Amino acid sequence: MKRAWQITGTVYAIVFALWAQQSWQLSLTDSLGPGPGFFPFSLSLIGLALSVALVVRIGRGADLAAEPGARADMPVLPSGAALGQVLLVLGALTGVALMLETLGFRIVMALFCLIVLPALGARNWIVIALFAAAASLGVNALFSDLLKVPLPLGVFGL
Amino acid sequence: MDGLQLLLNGFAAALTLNNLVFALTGCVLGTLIGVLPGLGPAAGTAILIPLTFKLDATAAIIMLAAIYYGAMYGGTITSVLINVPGEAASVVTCLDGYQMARQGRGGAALGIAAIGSFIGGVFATLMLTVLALPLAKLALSFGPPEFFALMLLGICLVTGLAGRSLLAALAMTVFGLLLAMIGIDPVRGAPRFTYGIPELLDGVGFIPVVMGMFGVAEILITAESTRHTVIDTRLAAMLPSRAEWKRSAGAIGRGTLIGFFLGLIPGVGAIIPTFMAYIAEKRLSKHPEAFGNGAIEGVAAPESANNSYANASMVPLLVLGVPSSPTIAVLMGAFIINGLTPGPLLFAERPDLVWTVIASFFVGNVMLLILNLPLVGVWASILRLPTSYLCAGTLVFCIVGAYSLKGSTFDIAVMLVFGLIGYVLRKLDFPLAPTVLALILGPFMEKSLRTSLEMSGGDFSILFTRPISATFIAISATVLIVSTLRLATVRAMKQAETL
Repeated sequence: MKRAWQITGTVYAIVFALWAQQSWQLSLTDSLGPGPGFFPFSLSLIGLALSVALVVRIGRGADLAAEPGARADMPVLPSGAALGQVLLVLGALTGVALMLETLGFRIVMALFCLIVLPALGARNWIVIALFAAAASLGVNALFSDLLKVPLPLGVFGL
Repeated sequence: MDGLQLLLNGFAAALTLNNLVFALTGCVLGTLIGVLPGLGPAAGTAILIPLTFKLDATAAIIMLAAIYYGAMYGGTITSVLINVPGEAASVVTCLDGYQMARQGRGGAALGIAAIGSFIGGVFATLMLTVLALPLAKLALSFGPPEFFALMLLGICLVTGLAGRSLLAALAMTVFGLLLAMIGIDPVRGAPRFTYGIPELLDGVGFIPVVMGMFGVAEILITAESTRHTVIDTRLAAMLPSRAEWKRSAGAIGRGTLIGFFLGLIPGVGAIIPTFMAYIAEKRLSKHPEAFGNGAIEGVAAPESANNSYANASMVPLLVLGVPSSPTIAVLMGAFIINGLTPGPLLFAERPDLVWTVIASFFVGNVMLLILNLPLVGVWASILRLPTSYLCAGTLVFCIVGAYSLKGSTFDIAVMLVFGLIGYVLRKLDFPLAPTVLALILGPFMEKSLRTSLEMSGGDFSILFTRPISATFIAISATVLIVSTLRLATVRAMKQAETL
């Protein structure tokens, strides 16, 4: 857990440093006063200082009980089957983001439910199939037909 | 036109069939969100925003506000029946509510919670009515320095009270403020940090970020478990006995007052009023040993405080334009989506909308009471649905919600990325509330600060020489110093314990 905090703090420090560098390339001041880069540059420096202070503090090992994630023995990331389940959900969401407009809402939602439900522990395939149908057709009807919120039809027009 | 006349006009609009239907829909959906463990009011309200796209602004805000205070009540049901708080503010109710359920008095607990919530909500709305116009008139005298200092105070309060590490909370706040900088510079109109991605010209969407950090992240945490849980719930009689009524009366009154005053302060969060009301009641009780073993005051006080807080927290939003919690920040996002900016100018420019929304709070509280006394068995039955289907259904609505904002899969990608970020940060106990509040307030803060500096020719002392702005900044600094000292004391005590 301590290593995870240090990595997170370091990532934050890198992000803030990059942000400061990008902000520097915008004008910090102009003829009317502070420029578009002024606020983000100042904030990036503050964020960088905070992140470095956090990493140093965790590195010294002092007062861990009051630092974020005080359960030092708890693993941050899951392993084994649990990790597989989390990755499956993330993968399914990624697939939706990539394929929604290509395949259309109904097909993608049905596939999404067929993948995610077993990952979340469902085992009855009849119920899973019914749920997938309801989620794709029912939600599409609710949003497209009733609420007039357009959802993608995809290349198959479904 | 005085406040009473405006409120009466508001009632005339709120009691139209159209607005009544939306208030009722919001109460039902809000209660459902509160009942479902894991899906908090912030993510739930964000997910349901797309349902309001085709509504006019008044109906949309009425429905979303009803979802908010409906969720506050809904969380009570799971706290009492299965010892799992449906949302964070209902944690305290678990202590005595669940014990009452185990003793066969779950119905009485839910009944007193519904009535206490109703009284708390109505009182807070009444006070909102009284305070709104004078506070709005005061706020109209604020200039850019005062608005910047006020928003800074709001952010410092949220940051100072968030989590066990002030450094982490401040870093999360800065992260949120920087995210808010992505898009078009609000003063000069120049693109910033967009890297040629056209979707980023509108900035990082607030709603996908909230759905990701609070909704998707929660479901990823749930996905780690292989349990396919089904919860069994049992319920008997609904109403408390006469003796329980008598014992609850004082608790409801005290809880209402505590919740109301704390709801006026941005950044307090819903948990604090409920805990304070519970502790106050325990200290005042002649039988403090009964608390934690099914004392009805232990349900009445926090539930009254909870709903009183929920309604009172609309005061900083409507009057000052400062959201006091992530859920209120989502409501603020809904205002902005509808082309409205909460704050004192809204009272001047759109009094019809504001007073209709305030009148709808009264109506909504009545609806919640009517809905939740007879329908609690229905809500309890929802808990028997397996968590896998509840989570999958939530994800489906998250996807539709994110896509329908702009008809773009880019927002689904944003939700996914922030879902992953929120998942990791939740595991590490980094507080997420400061990021969300900073994201919504960031553009306003920057615009106020830069306008202030243009007024003063680049001189920062303008923030310290104007009395109101200087006062807000002094309070902000005090909050951060007190938070640092508080955490240092906690650390010293823990070190002493381990030695």
